[in-house]
Amino acid sequence: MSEPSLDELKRYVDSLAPEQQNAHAQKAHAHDKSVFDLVKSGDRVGLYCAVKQNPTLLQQRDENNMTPLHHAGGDKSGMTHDILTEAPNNAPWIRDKFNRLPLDVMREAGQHQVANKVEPLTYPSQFKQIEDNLDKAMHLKAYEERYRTLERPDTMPAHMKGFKPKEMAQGFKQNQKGNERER
Amino acid sequence: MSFDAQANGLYSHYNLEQQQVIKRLMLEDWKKSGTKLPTYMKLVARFIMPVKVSDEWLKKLSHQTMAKMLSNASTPRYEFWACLHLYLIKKYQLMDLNHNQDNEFDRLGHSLAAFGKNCIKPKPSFYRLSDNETLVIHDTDSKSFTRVAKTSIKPNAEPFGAVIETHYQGVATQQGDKLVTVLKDMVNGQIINGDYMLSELTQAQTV
Repeated sequence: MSEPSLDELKRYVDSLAPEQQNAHAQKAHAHDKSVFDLVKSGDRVGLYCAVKQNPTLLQQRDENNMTPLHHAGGDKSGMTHDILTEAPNNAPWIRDKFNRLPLDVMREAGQHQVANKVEPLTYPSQFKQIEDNLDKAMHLKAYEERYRTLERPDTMPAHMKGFKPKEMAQGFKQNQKGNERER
Repeated sequence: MSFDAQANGLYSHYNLEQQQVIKRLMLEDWKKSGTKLPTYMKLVARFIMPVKVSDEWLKKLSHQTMAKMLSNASTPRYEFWACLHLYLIKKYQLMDLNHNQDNEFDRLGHSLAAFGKNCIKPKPSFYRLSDNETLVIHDTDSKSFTRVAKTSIKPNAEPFGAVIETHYQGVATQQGDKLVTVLKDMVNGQIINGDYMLSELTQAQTV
């Protein structure tokens, strides 16, 4: 059986009575970390209704300082990712307590299918240049604006932080030696 | 004299994980350059030209190939990855593309074997732990432990419910009939210990 699309999910939610939609959305407020339960249990209807009603949930943090997007790779179809990124938000550039972006977590966990979806949002200016689909390009443009608003946060993976051009690295070493001599 | 790939620190093959490292670092480098992709690719080619890379290899460095690679429309050939790796070596002295997780699991494996009695390396196998859980025992160079990977699948029968996959990686050692594992949830970093009796496990297929 093929995976349903986000549009199909939206049509399903639209077909529900407002009270039913609200009941689904309220599942994210059972306790202060309930939105993570929705992601981890695969409750996409609950998650969609909840973030539609309260978009601040997209940037909520768990005990590891992770956002719901950090956990989205468990749904290999990518629909959970789509729900969490449809409205432009800061989550692609939020680091967890291990200093990992959602993209880093997905790559580390081998969730490459979903990582390939979040990568363009993490680097919107670059991927906008190669995107042929107008809707997707507009979506990336919205993320690009958000990235600029946030003053271009660092996107380097934590384990590659020492990654500097050779000349810069040598200059740094020379400076260090100079400082040691001065001391 | 022809270009010697090995002498320049290049690999004979780039696996998926290594390709992902190259891709990510090239994205970072491109972002810092602030140029359009066709210009950037020309800069990359010009940077590695003095190393006497063959024209055949340099031709692979087109912006179209890079765009297809980034959008996962196709996987480029070896020469493309080798050129990018060469660029990263020359510009950043990046020789090792392997994730430092390998070292972390090696240390964990040595500790596990050191604290256990009569530890031997389990045979490479693929076990079905339950309807929704599998355990793969990989082959490694060590004599006393090996790398393992566990996948757990949580079905969801609700309308539009997502099947959730959780991946664990870790190490295992064998003590008699007992398989001792230490696994890490690759998303939240949680460490989980698990002991299994090998005679009670169902072997799904040989790896």
